Amino acid sequence: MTTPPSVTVNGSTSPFSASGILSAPVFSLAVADFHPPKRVAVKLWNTYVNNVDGCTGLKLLHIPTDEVKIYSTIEQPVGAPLDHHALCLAIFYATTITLEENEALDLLGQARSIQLLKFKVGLEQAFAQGDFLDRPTLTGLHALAIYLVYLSFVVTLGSTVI
Amino acid sequence: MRVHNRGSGIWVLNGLAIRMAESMGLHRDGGQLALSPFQAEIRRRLWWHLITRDSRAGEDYGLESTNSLLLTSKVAPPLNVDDVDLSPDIRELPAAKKGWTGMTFSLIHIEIARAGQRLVEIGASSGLSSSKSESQRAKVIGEMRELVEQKVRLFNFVVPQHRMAVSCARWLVKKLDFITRQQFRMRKHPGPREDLATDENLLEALEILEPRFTEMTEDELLKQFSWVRKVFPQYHVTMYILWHLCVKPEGPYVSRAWKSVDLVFSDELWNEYTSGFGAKSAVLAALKVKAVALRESLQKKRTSGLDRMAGDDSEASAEEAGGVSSKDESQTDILLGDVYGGDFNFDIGSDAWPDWSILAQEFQADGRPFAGGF
Repeated sequence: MTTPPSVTVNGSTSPFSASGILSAPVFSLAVADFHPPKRVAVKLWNTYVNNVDGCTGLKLLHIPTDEVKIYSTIEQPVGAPLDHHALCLAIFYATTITLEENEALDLLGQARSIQLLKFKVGLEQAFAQGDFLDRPTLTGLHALAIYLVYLSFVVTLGSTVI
Repeated sequence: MRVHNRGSGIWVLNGLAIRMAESMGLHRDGGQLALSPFQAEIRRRLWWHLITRDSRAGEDYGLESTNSLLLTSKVAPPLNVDDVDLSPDIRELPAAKKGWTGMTFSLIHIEIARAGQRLVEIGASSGLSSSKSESQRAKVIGEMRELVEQKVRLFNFVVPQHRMAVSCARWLVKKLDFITRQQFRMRKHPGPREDLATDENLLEALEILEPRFTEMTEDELLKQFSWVRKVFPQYHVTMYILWHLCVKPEGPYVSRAWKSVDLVFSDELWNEYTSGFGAKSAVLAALKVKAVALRESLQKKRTSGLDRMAGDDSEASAEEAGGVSSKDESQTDILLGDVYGGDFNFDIGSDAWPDWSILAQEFQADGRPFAGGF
């Protein structure tokens, strides 16, 4: 059994630490760069709607209105509102968690942990750059709520996170 | 032992999310604010999600809160409607639907979380020996079951999403009933708790845990939801089973119990290489080590016993035919003696079914305030 170096023992240095949500903004990181290719993003969103929304905790989203935010951000990430980015990235993160390992590899073309980390850092930056703590929005809070449900999962993934 | 309890980091962030929600006024029902009916309804969903999540802390992190918003919030629960029934320009909200909707499972969740919170509060307020507490507990569980069953009746078995939701809902009800019954009994009879390790309890625990494996792996239509089991690993029921195996390593359901334990550990729990819900997983792992040691030493003693018996035939076979009774009981006593003196680096004394709040107190940094309650 191999262990990814990023998710090892003591955890205090794990990049999957929950504390990243309180990141400082790094404006040289463009949130739009953390999105997957568009066809992957659409697939992740559809999987979320079918398998995930309403299955963990409570159903949060109102699909007819929220899908407009999601699709606009997927199509034109540059310049999209930061809270819409946050919602997209939280959903990508959540759905990636729920995929089987081989499905994840097929769809993402990359190890799941690398993708998860990318979504996570993107999400944290979307919050930080959007000054989310002081200027929360409903969409941003949706993103945080979804993300927090699935953040606990990475620690239970164990060896499959590789 | 160093425990990095990052699970509680998520719990802390959930508190942060609740604070942010409050800063946006989500703790007040949107109907009383100058908001559109649509906005008010969307905010209700989010608010109830956040406060029910918070109540999961008991199982996820071994924490219980006695001042939960679940029972005091003035925000109306969300409506049983589908997304298509709502749109931003509606003048007033539609009536709740009678049938199954995208929100039905969420509403079931709320009922279960509220019942769980009521039980925490009954537990916290009634004295240790209060005989009333069990009847109060049974009443809360009964009412919850009734509410859940009313909603569950609406489902269509053909639809995988419904099937999944109903199976989860019934299972959550059973689990809450089982766990709280044991907890209440324990508080009523402090001291040795071997009498809680009954075959009946073990069977009930197995019947709660086993369907998680069979339904999700054998039902092809539910494959798409197999992740749910991983997202919510089952600590409490697993802990009961392991504890039972330590206290009573023999019995009619023991081999079934070991099968479940092996499945849980191969599948559901994080392995030792990952950081995680340190305290609980560490306790389960330690309990398992203990149970395995007990089983092995029992087997060893039995084999050597049989060797000896092979020498003086008649008496031995008579005893064999007479069943397991006295001999095995005394063996168990001997083994339990070993266990009491065991050198685990934390106390999971086998006479007590370890209580998460005790564990939480032991594991979490000194004097942090949230280990109260049960």
